Amino acid sequence: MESSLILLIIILPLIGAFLNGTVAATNAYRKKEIWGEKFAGILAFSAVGSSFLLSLYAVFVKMSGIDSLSFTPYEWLSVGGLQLNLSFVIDHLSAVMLLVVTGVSSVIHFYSIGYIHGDESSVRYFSYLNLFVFAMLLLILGDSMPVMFVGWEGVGLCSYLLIGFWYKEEEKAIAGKKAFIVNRIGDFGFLLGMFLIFANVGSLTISEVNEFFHHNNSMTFFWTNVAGICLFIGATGKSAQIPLYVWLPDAMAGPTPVSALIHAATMVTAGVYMLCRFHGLYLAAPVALNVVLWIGALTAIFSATIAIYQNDIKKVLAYSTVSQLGFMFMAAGAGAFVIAIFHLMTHAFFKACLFLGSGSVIHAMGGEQDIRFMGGLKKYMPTTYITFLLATLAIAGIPPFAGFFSKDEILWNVFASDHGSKIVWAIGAIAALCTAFYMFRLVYLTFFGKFRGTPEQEHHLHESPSTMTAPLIILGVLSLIGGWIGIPKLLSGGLIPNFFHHYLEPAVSKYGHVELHHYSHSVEYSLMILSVVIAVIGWFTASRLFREVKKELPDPARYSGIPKLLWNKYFVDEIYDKLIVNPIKFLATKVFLNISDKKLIDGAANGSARGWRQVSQVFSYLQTGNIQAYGIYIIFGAALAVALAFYIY
Amino acid sequence: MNFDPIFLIGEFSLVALIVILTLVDAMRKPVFALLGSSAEITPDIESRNRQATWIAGIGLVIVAAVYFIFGKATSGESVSLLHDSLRAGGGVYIGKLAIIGAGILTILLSARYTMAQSIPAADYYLLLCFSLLGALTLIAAENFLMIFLSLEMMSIPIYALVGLKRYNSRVGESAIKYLLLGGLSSAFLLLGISFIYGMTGTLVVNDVLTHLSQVSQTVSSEMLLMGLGLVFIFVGLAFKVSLVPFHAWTPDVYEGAATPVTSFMSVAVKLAAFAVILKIFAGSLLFPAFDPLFSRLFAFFALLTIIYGNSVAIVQKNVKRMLAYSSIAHAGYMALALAPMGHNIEAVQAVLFYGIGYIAMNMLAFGVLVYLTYRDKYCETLEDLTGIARKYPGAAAVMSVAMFSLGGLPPAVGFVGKVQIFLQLINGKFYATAVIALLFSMVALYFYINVIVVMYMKEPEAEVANIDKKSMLPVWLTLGFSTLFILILGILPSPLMEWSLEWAKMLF
Amino acid sequence: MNNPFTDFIIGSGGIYTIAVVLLLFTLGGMTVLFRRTLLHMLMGVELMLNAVNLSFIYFSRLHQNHDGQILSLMIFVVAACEVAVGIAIIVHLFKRTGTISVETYTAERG
Repeated sequence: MESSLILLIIILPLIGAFLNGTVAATNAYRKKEIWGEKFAGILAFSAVGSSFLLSLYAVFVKMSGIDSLSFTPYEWLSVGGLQLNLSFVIDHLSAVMLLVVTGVSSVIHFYSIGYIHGDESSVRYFSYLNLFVFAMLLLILGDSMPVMFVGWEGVGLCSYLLIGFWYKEEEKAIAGKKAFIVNRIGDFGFLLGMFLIFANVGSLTISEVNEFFHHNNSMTFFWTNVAGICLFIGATGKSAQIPLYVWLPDAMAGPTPVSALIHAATMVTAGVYMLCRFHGLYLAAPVALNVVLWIGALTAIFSATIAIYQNDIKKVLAYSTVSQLGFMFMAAGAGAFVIAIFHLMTHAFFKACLFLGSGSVIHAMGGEQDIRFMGGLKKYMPTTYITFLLATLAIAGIPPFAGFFSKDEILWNVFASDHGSKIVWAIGAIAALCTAFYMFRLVYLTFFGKFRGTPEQEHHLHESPSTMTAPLIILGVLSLIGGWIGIPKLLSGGLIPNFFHHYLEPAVSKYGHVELHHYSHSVEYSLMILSVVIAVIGWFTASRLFREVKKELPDPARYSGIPKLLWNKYFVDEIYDKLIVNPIKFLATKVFLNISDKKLIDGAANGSARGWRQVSQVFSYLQTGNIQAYGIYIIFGAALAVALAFYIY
Repeated sequence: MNFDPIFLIGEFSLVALIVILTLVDAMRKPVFALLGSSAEITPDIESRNRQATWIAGIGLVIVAAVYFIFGKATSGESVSLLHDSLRAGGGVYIGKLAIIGAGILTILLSARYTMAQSIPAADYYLLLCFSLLGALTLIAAENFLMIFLSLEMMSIPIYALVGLKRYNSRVGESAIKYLLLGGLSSAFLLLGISFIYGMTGTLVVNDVLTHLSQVSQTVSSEMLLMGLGLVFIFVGLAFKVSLVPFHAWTPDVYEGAATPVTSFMSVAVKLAAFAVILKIFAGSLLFPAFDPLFSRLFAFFALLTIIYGNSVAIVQKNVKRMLAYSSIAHAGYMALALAPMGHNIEAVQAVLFYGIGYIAMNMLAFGVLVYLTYRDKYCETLEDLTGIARKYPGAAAVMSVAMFSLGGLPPAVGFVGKVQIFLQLINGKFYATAVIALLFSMVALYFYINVIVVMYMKEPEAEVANIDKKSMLPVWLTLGFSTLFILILGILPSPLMEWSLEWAKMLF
Repeated sequence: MNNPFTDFIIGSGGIYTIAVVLLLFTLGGMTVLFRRTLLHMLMGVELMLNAVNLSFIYFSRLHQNHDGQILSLMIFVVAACEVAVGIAIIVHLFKRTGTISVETYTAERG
């Protein structure tokens, strides 16, 4: 019963993907429709929706009173006494993630029905979307690293397919490719970490790995940390952290609901989730944890500053996502895994809401994404405006919105935890200031003032259909109340227990607990007030600057100094091109190809022609033709093998 | 010694098929003359080709069925036949089925070529069957005499097959390259065998291995001579599986040959040659005197192969050439598992698993190229694949499956294969080797995924040409079978693991 | 372990036979690698195979068993097959291009 429940949760989206995928292929081939976008959308939505309902049932009914449900349908591989099972587990950690993913996915599937309306390949779109949910569920529920890795790769693939969904535009195809390549680097780290763990632990089951590091860590301190850092490199790829964040802003080329689902709410948080799953390992690897903390902090501030000068509504949100993910890693790095997941959850609500809201705006603007040409949309799209504002208040950290609780707790933990640091806290506080500033800049430029687009666009402005606004309302409300399940004890005077902590505690604190330094309540209170003040300052500044835009906003091409640096995203893409991409291309085209073929032989010919006549007589035989050159390689190889033999003995 | 023909039922029925193919084609004229039908005395080449194709296809399916049903009885225990020449039965049953399967897939792909082109189809299938026969005896051989004979029986028909494609002016060039270099490598193989024979006085592999196991670990002239012999054998076989730097023929020959022939070469020939490598070296690696040498030798050349193959494949414009470099790289992965092989049977099993899985992946990739034979040209370059996803979604989808599997991404069988190989490397403590190989398998993803990008995300410059609609069914059969094989065994790999373990027991 | 054959080959007359074998083999190899026509290369391969034949026959005599001789007979057969195919291809190439010089056939590269 339990096993079939888990299986059903996972498999329903796959069935949806399969049905829609088959139909999409036949539709394209036969040029006539078996079913259209309406049905496809409803099918996809109901697949994910029922998966969500089943998850609710599993988590709240089946799991009441027990720590975990697990299910092993198949022995996948058995190598060298090692059993790799296709096994799934729902514990309290994966339960939270499961609910967030299936819940937000359901909402976004519903939104997509309205959004993708009229696109010729909407059936294909829904099949990708369902496939994504399936892969994400594998990642979340998989109890062994290979299963997790399958999901990990699967979500990457779907993200890649969806970024390049409108592949007719070259730029989007390139964005897809970039996402793919950057993620490969991350995966390389993940695999290295996996191998290191396998080589030392002899098991790839996550719970056993945690157990190993907690109880009888026979791995040296150095290698434990290396393993932790390797896994974290995987996380930086998937979760867009320095130095592998470059793909995420470009990934905004995909349809907006995709950005909301994959590149904001779920997939990009997989790295954070993975770190939390391996908390046993990370608690044994303080150096790796410190790396996580610092990278998270740097990413948070770095991308928050970039976001200030972006003009594309989705780019702002993309950099904001990178920055918020940085916050989550800061929490994880401070050892506060519960808080990391808490922020992950609240972020899923408000960021999904923001993206869907931006989708609604873009929809109304007829595809325009540049906020310099928007303005005054408040009166045309009230629902979008209000929900967008709710989510903005949440992300900026204004109480009592969801983001306040999670962000404040992150900063508090970074400040007070053994693993935290005061400098990182300061960085986080500045990043929070930037966050409030750029988010309100976005709101003011988009919804306030006078409309700055063309009259034609103004004529077309309208509120989006209810299929699109209903999800906005749901997510907007969640942005408001979503944080209330994790109200700090201090704030309620100990009256309300911190439900979220209480729930997650058994899953994430099983293998040790990170102690907080003792500070008096007044310190905690003042920090809390400080973070509210910070948010309000950001809001206020943005309001002064952007509430009523009088003159035209400057053209980015004329930026200079720091704005130029920020507009160009610190020139990171250009630096990568120069330092990494070009040398690899050079190696492949110039070195390997030419050695294998003509350059070596021609070069030898030219060299011999210039002089050295005696030897060239012998060498010239080398150039008689390819077959013989190949023959020489064989002889050379044989000589190499013999030489190796003599060398070894 | 009692000789039970049931153990060679596969070979016998294949020989019968060869005889039938020869006779039917040769007797065609006289038979029609006897019937007095003057119109059929000079039958047109197309009907003649059709006939040969049908006979070969149905015939080989019958051979497979016969071997599958009657050979099953032999799968329990293996016996030595013909004075320790062949070892039949046991796990070899699996290996032979895999090879015959590859043969059937090749014939299915060939139908599209032989029915349409003016290739003499009867000769084509005859040569293919001969080569298949060589491959079958090769994996069963346990005597150096038999190994050499089978290897040549497998290779010589291929030389001719490569040269058979008549419309392309480069064909002869590929064929002569393969032949001359093949001869060179055979000479090395034989020189190695003669050294071993000189030291031990026997050609039976197991007896040789017994001798090798007694060689002491201290450096002696005996050890050196034997080691030299083994190194030369390694060179000869490394050529067949195309390890760098013995690989140079591969891209040229793969590009020049007809696509079905290429696919046959890249899977059946490679798998059979790997079986021999395992047979000879899995044993010798166990011995203290040779383990340090050969584990390093394989690690070194395998790494070289992986690095070179994957790097050069990136810049290829021609898909067949790209797949050739990819097949070089894959040989590298398989050889990589030989490095820690001295320590357990599961490394042998990993190689065989990979080899069998590789049959399906490569057949699928080449099958798509055969499927996309356009009216006026063959599908060979990346340009020919550009933007086909709209017009031929099925072909594009299965090609993506193939690329996924070749790239080692889940949920394809290639992923499981790579996981096993890497786990073996870690078990054997080859950490640095594993890391480098892993890095380059990430590099490899670039060109595999590039194919998918080209198919799905690029607009073709001109409109995608119409494909030739003739004899599509056999190609679809190949594509369908391979796709299912890759996906099902990628998700639920345990049957294939058991099969390859059975086979591995025979070689270890 | 003391292997009498090793001692004989290294220590006494056997070494000369081996030397001849290696010399022939090398000559054959040089022919393959350095002669300019395909036909010569084919002959070089044959020379290499014959060198190996000599070695097999010698070892067969040394060990007083027939395995080596049988193998060398087989090598003859196989070499003949190889030549048959090889000559056919070379003739085909000659018919089309009018030359069998190796340099002509370098169209496939990269």
